[in-house]
Amino acid sequence: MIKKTTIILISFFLIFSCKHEIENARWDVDLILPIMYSNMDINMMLTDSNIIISENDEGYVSLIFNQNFIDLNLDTLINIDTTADEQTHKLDSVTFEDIIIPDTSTIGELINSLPGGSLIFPNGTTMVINNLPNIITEDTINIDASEYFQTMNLYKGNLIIEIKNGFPTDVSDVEMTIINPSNQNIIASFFFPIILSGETKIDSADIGGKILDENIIAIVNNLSINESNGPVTINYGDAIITTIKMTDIGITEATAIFPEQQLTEKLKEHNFSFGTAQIKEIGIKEGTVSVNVSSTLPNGKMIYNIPSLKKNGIPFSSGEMIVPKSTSNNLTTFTFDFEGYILDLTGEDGRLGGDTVNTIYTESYTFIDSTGILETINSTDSFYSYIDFDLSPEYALGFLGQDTIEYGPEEIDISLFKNMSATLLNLEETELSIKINNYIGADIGVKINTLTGINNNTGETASIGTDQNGNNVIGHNYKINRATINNVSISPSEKNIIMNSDQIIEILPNNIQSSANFYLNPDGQQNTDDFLYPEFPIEAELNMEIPLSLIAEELILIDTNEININDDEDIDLEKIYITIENEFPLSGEINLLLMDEAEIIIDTLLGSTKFLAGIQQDDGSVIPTKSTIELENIDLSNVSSIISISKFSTEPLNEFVKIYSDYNMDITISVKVKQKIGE
Amino acid sequence: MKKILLIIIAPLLLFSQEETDTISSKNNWNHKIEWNTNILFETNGLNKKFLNSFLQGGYIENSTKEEWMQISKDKNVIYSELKNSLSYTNMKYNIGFNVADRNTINIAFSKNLMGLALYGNANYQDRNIDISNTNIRINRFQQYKLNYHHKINKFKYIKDLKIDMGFGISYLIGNYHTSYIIKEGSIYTAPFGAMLDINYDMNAIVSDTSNIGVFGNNGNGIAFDIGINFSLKDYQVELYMQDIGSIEWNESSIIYNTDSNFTFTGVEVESILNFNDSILDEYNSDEYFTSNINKMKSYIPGRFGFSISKNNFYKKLEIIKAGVNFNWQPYFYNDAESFSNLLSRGIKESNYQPLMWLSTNTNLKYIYLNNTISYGGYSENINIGLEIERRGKNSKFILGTTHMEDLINGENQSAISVYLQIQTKF
Repeated sequence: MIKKTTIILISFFLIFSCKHEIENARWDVDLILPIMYSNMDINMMLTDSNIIISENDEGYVSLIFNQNFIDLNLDTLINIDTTADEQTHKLDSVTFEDIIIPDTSTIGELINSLPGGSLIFPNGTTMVINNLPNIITEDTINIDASEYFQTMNLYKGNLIIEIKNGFPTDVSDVEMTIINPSNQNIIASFFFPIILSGETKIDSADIGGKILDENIIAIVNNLSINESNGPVTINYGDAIITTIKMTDIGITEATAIFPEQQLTEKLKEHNFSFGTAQIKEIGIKEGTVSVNVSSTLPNGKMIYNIPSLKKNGIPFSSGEMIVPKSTSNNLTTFTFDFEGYILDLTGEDGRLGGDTVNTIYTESYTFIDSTGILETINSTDSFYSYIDFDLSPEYALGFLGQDTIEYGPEEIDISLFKNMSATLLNLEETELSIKINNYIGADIGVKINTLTGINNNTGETASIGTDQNGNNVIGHNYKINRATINNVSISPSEKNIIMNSDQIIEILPNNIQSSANFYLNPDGQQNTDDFLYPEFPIEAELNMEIPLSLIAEELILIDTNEININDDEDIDLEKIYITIENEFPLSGEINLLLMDEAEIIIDTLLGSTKFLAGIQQDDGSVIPTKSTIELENIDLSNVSSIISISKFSTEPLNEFVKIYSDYNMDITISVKVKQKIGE
Repeated sequence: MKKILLIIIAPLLLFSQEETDTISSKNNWNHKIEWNTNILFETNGLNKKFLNSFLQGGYIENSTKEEWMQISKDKNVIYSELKNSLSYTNMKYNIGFNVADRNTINIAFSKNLMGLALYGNANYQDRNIDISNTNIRINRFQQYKLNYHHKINKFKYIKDLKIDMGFGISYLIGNYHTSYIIKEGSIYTAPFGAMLDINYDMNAIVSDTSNIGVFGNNGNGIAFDIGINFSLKDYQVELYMQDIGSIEWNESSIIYNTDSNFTFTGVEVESILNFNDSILDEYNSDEYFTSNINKMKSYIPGRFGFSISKNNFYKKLEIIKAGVNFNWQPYFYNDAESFSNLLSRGIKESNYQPLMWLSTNTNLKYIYLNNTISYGGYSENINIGLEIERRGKNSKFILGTTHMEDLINGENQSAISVYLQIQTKF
């Protein structure tokens, strides 16, 4: 029994152990569900950012299209981008301080040099001194100038010798020669026939063209002592003091310890060219002035000042610019930021003849700096400099001159009609205007040469007609007065040229071609100074106002929208339904084309499917119509965008239809998908 | 006689399986160990093919869907249970212990909802689909039951009367629970799908999904059994109430309570021309549902009923027995509810029709055959049960089904039932 039971039991478990491999049940379901809904009024339908939709009290809609037309900037008239003030500072003007070297020869030294002199003339005794002719001959005095220079070639200079006789007797026949010991050249010779006791004699010699060494020798060729006038006191301290001076030294070449000294000074006015403009003041928005300088001196220095360039009332000064000795043709550049400076262009303060225009006043100074060591310089050494101005003005004051600025021909895209075409389009009224705002403080004349609407798709062109005053817009001279300015703002002068534009607009132009001449100060200089702020130029705006009262037949709107549909293998898109509930008095027809990434049309999603216009009632209300468009056989693989071509026609076609802001078009997109369940 | 009585009682295990041994053996066995396996699938309108499609997988063709739609009822019920249990009974002291692993699925849904699920809503444009009273309950729990019988064999005035009272208390370990209960609901799809109008009052509970192993403990509960058997000569009357209890799921359970009425016309955009599927991401929004994480209580399938039997009925038919069984399983616990309300609600919400049954016992030479005929239950149909029993000296083996009638229907059978019992005494 147990055995049988066991067999049955095992069999039972074996049967139930045959577990089917786990696999999900799978089936398809057809789901239909809304995915998007939009209640679109005219505001939502026209998404061009350049379009403003306005409505009157009754909700009657007008489209206002604005597009910048001309932005005429005249900053090039007053830009300062030039090189100026080129200067060379030569070293021929280098001077040297006076050199003074004293020498003292006492009577004691002289008596002691005589045999038995101190016995004959004891110090402090009183006696008569006899004639002592030629008592000094060929006596050498060493003049040590090494503390001043090593050698100097002079193109000018004076050597002055001063002898003060402190002896109790007169001296006579004093003959002295100054010699350069290195070549024994005589620098100068002096002769004093007599120098009375207590008298000082001075003589000088021109040493221009001479070469001086640091050690000069003065030779006293002869000196005689005359007999005293009666007994005199012998005082060994009494002396003849000789002073040698070198003054007004001009150097051709020297190796010396040069003192710090200004080499050159150039004060001058510089004139900028602004064409016919006469500018008095420029406010600098941004920019730099670069001082480019080179020097052959080992210790050159420069200072550059522009007194007429001020910031907060403080004139510009470069300060000391240490210029290293040039080793090549490269210049050292010192750049200064001039943002916020004001440049006075009336010339030097207090100039002869009064203020001028377009002119700055500059000062430049060159120096050699004292280094305390021996340096060798010569007359060929120099400074070379010039100034680069690169200034963008914030404003300019003065007379901006008379000029003609040609604009165009230019083409501007009109996005409003870019994707639009029509078999018939009749607009009840339209208005095209050009609004010109003159922000410049100068009178402007404008002459429009061309203003033509072009539909590139159809090849149609239409030119503008007359303005609001009956003038032909083309060729007429319009004058725009100057702008005014107060402390805080510029008030532009405005000119509105309103034109009859039905012909242009009804061809749905996607392009407008224009050209014009602008005349600056057509009436010449006025009593009031002109001004120009480059950030506030002459602007012209094209304005189009289209009240939506129209007759349209097959008004075609083309739009391309990128789509991004992920490929979900579990979802098979079978149908798309577009349900349109339309209040607009426009019936329509929709075509949807599919385009791949290469922008090639690969399929037609929907072909020429119509929807109905809203039904207008006599009381002005509208009964919406409902249309459902069904899209089948949808394959969105490889589709990157959808081109929608919508054709609208007004109903009825023989009278103008007005569009009101409360018209709506409810659009619901729903999809029918086959969803795989269980995968 | 006693053996016959045992054979007669055995089919009753199908309806009051824990009500065992209400009449004890007079043999000298003191201990009994028993293994029970019960596999049950019942539906009132669908069939085995439907079940197999979901159990075995594979693609469901439209023809199959149409077939299901044809056989489905306005309200379709699917009930399935897999139960394995091992029990020990000390027959001397009339006390027993039972360990069971139970898996139950109880689903009710409308024909329209089934059509919606099978075909999608495209076929229901401009129609309102009623999805009220849709409920899906999936449970797995382990049950540890202690039971005791008290027998009274001597009565002063009625000598032959014997009463056997049984009591049981179960400790329940909740393993997994999911329920979606839609009390009221409808789905309307406008023509061309231009609008969906969805109304529903739904409660949903999902127990902690981070711990759904076989012995994962995500909740605890208690259930009670009580039964009484009156025996007078050849007649017996039995009343029973079994597995009346609930499981309180732990705080990690997710509870959705939604009473929504929304009309969906798609994602509103300013320009219909800017289409891309990022818009579809809006569908992933959970904004329509409010959820919270909390404790909650659900009921296990319980039952109660009564039966009357007569021994020595007619020749080979040794015992004849008839009874009515009710299943009881309310959707949710409501602490402000009266017992009577809870009782009637549990019957209604169990998706189970009262089962009326009649059974007999036949003693053949080597085997015992127990035959049952019943009507009602989840199948709401006539069911024929057959049980084969083979007895040994101290053991017993039973193999049976409550849906013999469907064995010959092949794929079209609407119920599957197999139960097995192995018993040994010592």
